[in-house]
Amino acid sequence: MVKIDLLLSGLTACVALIGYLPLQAYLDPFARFFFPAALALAAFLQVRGRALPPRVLTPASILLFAYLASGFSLSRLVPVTADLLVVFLGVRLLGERTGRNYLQAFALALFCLSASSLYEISALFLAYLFSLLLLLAVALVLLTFHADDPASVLSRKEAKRVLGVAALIPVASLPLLLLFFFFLPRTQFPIWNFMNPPVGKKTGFSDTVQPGTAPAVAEVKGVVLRAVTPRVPEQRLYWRAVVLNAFKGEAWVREPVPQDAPARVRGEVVLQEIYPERSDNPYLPALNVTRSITGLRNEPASDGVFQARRPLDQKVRYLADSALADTVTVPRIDREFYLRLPAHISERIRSQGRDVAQSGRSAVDKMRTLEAFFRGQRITYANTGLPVGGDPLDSFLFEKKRGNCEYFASCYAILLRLAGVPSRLVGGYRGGTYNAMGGYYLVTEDMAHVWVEAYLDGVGWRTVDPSAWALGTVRSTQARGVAMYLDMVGFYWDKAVVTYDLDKQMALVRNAGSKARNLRLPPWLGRGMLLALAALAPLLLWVFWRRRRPPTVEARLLRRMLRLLAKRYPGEISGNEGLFELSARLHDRHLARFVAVYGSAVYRDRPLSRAEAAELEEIVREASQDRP
Amino acid sequence: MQRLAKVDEMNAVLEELSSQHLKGKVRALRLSLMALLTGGHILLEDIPGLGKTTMALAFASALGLSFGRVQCTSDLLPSDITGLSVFDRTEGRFNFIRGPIFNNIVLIDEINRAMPKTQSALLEAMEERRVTVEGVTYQLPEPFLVLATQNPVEQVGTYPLPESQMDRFLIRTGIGYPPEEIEKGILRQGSIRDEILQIPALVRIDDLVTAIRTVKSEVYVGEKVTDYVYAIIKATRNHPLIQAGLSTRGGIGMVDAAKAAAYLHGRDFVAPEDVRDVVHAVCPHRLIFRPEHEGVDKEHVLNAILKEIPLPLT
Repeated sequence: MVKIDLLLSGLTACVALIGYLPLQAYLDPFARFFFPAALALAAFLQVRGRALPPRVLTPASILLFAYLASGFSLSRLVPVTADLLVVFLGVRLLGERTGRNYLQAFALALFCLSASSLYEISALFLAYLFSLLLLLAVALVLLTFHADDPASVLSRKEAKRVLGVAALIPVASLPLLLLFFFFLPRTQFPIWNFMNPPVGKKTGFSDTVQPGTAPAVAEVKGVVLRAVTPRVPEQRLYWRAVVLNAFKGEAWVREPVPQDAPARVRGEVVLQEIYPERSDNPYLPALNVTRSITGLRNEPASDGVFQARRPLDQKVRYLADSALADTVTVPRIDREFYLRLPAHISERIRSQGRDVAQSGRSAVDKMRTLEAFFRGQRITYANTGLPVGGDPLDSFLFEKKRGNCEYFASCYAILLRLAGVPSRLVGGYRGGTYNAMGGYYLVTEDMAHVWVEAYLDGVGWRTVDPSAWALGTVRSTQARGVAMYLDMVGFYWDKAVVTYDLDKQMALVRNAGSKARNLRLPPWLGRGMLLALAALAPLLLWVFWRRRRPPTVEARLLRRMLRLLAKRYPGEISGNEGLFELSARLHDRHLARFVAVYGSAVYRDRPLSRAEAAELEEIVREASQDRP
Repeated sequence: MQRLAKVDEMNAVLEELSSQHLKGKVRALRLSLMALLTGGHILLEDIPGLGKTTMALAFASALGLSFGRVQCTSDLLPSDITGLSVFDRTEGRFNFIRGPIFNNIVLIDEINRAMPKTQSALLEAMEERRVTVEGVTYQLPEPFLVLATQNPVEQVGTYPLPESQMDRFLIRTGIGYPPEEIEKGILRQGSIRDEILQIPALVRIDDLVTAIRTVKSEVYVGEKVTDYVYAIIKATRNHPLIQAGLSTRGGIGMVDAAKAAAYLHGRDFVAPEDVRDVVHAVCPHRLIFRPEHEGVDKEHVLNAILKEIPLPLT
């Protein structure tokens, strides 16, 4: 007979000990001695069948808390917490043995064990953790019995069953855990995202630029990417995605890049870990000027544009290596390619271009003239009331004098080309909201931007942002309030769960493997345990075998025969049937022979003779070979 | 294992009777034969008209035994069973006229209608296997079997056998309705009472006596079986619903019946399943339940007890 109450108390004591032992070395002397004393007292109370009432324990807990918390300071955060946990665990053991108290003790023990990992993590921690999980599972199952009737009593057999099944739970869940580790499907959205489903994204960014197609541009706040990177000076926040180098009618488009000489970029190197949102275009934005992108299969072009091999239709991540520079050094370019003009240019623009061409010798001079011209026009940066109609660029420069980056960049680049300076448009994003908590930039669709690169002979491509010459526009760049937190939580979901791929898992496993190799057991433990195991294992095996093995020849033979029959006639052998009955019912000739020999010895109170035993062996053997 | 004497003949009788003449009464026939082989007696408890008498008659004639019958009424006197001395005027002395009990097989019909005095006289004869009339003791024939019947439904004008006397019967059993097909066959055929009288003897009395002796002395009862029997007895004695469990006589009865069962199976030793085989015939009528649990089905209780005790296999 096994008393549930007693069993549960014993298990709880073990659980509490597992919580206490790993912490023990780091505790304040008071907590270190309080716990064993409490455990001993609890054992004493259990034997006496008593417990300390809440009216004693609650004030005691408050006093203990006050005493321990008095030593609290920011520098002693962990030690005080550990002391408190252990002391409360001890107090909990003294209380009445109710389900609630047991559960609290379990939770406290778990906290204690996790607290110990703050001090030291060794192989022993794993051993503690696994034994704690095992014991907790068993204890929780027993707790359900206890909740039903605290005085319930199980027979030895039942208790064995219950404990066996309960122990099976954590044991069976281990392989499942491993399985899920590899195969658990990950949702593409944070779980809490169902409340505001992502709106259909309107492209703020596109790989063609044709100003004047629409009178207004909608500001879309959709997220484009998040980039984990240290803070970058505000004026350097250009995210390069695409370079538009040719015309198709009036529109800037991207044509295959001529075989320029290889580009070199000098500047402060910034590494970014970028998590783009899904999008239709394959361009991989990164800080200007991008040097390389890894972590995702991509197609680099010599003008610093990187295209993913497959569309970004699921969440991915890549690493970008950028140099914050104004100039991309390229010794030679295909000048003619970068001087082509659109089909139609208004007369006013042409003449302006001629003026610029005549304003100076060098490209730098021409650019200075152009900048002065732009500033002199006093153009407003706007997303609404944009010039449209037959010649939007002409209207932008000379009549309406308002427009967005597309107008600025497009006009500037065309004027440069008219003036004989090779130029191209760079599309991407300007700015970014820095999330100081998460340490990343959030780039949204409304930050889409186009700027210009002009080629200076002997130097290379120089970045120019003509939009900067507009009558000021200001953007806030600091995320604030709840939005920041929400975005950060969502971002971490992406980072930790969604883009957590098999590579990382394998890396983790390898990492854990190499760590495990380096784990050191305390020296006395390793040697001693090995020796003890080596000595004990055969002994245990022998005891187990002796216990499982029926004591007599007769019983062994019978067990073999019955097992054989159970295999041959599944479900027929109930175990509560006489051998002769069974033989008559099953009409099994081997069994009939067996019971005749067996019964005439066993039921006649004499041991099997050697010959009979041999005969029975033979029958069992034949029966096992005979397949009906 | 050598063949036991006369087993085949006994089984042949059972086979012949149950397949030819008394279809659907295998169990009752077997139990009757077991009672005969162990020298015990059998009480058939069932409603009238299920063929108790027919069975007794057929049984007697197939075994080649003499048959006597007593129809009990409330004014039946002991001497109507045992017989009495009658004065013979020509010879000038009393002559003892033997009653129906001086037969190998005696059918006592509706034993619970006889008055207690007569019942006791009868039970004494069953136990002692002899009758003492007017100071002279007469030995009853060998083999000797009393087949008593009792109607469990009728209550008026009956003297139910007290439990102490039920104990005298080795076996109590019902006959039960025959299976559907067999009953239809019987309906088609009509009563076979006349036919039965023509059944030739299938064995000789000597064979029967040999068989009885064999059962008594050749069939071995091992320790495991006695342990098992004792476990059953003890369980009935400790059972909360039962006031008085099995007596030692009940235990002996169980062992005897088990021996007969083992004999009929052709074994010279008793296996535990033989005991379990006969428990339902031997035990229930010996159990006395507590007054508050009178209505409980004895068979159920017994089944529960048997389920608790594992058969000793090793």
